[in-house]
Amino acid sequence: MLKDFLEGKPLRHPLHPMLVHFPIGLFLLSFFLDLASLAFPFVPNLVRGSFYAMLLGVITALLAAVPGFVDYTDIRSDHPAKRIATIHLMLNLIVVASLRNQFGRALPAACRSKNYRNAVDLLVRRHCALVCVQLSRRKPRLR
Amino acid sequence: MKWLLDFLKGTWLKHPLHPILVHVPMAMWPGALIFDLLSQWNIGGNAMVRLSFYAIIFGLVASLLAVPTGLVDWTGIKKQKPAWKIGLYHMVLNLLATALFAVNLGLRVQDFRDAPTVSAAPLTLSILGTALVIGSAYLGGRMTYEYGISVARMSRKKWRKIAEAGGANVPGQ
Repeated sequence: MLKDFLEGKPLRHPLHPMLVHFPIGLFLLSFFLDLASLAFPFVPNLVRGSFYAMLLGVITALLAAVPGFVDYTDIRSDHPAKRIATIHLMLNLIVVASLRNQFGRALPAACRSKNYRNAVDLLVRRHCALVCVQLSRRKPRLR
Repeated sequence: MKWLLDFLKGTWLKHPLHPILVHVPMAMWPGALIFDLLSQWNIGGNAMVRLSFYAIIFGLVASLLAVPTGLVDWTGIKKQKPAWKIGLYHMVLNLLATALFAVNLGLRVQDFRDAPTVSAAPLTLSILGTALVIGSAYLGGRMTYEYGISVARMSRKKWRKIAEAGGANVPGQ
């Protein structure tokens, strides 16, 4: 019953691919706002906006993980997609874990104190995981 | 001309391009609505108003990029298939949603820099636009998951081989 719901059977549309739009889009927005905050340090509230976008991204990522895991358990272990799905799962866990660690005050503080080298460093560490998400997006469609 | 079509179909990436690009408007516009609502509840102040504004812009830019890829995918569907009509509705809803968010953005340009909250008119447009884009995205998802449009488009031959090697009774081409 719950499994059917998480697989999207009532909607006749899988739930996981619906929910993943949000973390992908919001992490990208957060990344671009961070870049903009470095390029235009005089524009206010970019860092705050990036933080809010990332927060909503993490919340929706955790939501998407639940039906995603149910879909994952349904792939037969001898199917070639299983390995891709495992990599997809691991990369996404790394992304969420690494982003969660960024919810400190380090980046806003670095931007305020105009310590841009430090800020760029934080940015890179914050977002290198995004590339992983994009790579892992090549997920299996066939079951 | 063929290279352009192949580019828009995502042949070079071995992954259809349209479903990649649509993540952005599909996340940004409902996201903008959430930011608008938070701003109405006095959360985030002007940062939230600005964030919503940037989200709408990012969504508009990506949706303009997604239009040609979607059109190319749609023209690849035979007209007698049920997915063709769904694709047509999907396109009309998307055009409406994009127009609504373009107007929405226009309403915000004047005061997003210092407004403490989002006003009623843009909020209403966000609600309408989000409803449209969710409906349209659902239709797009149905095309893939119910009618198999774009599924295994680039790997059909590989899957056929795997199925035949496994002794499956595969229908002829």
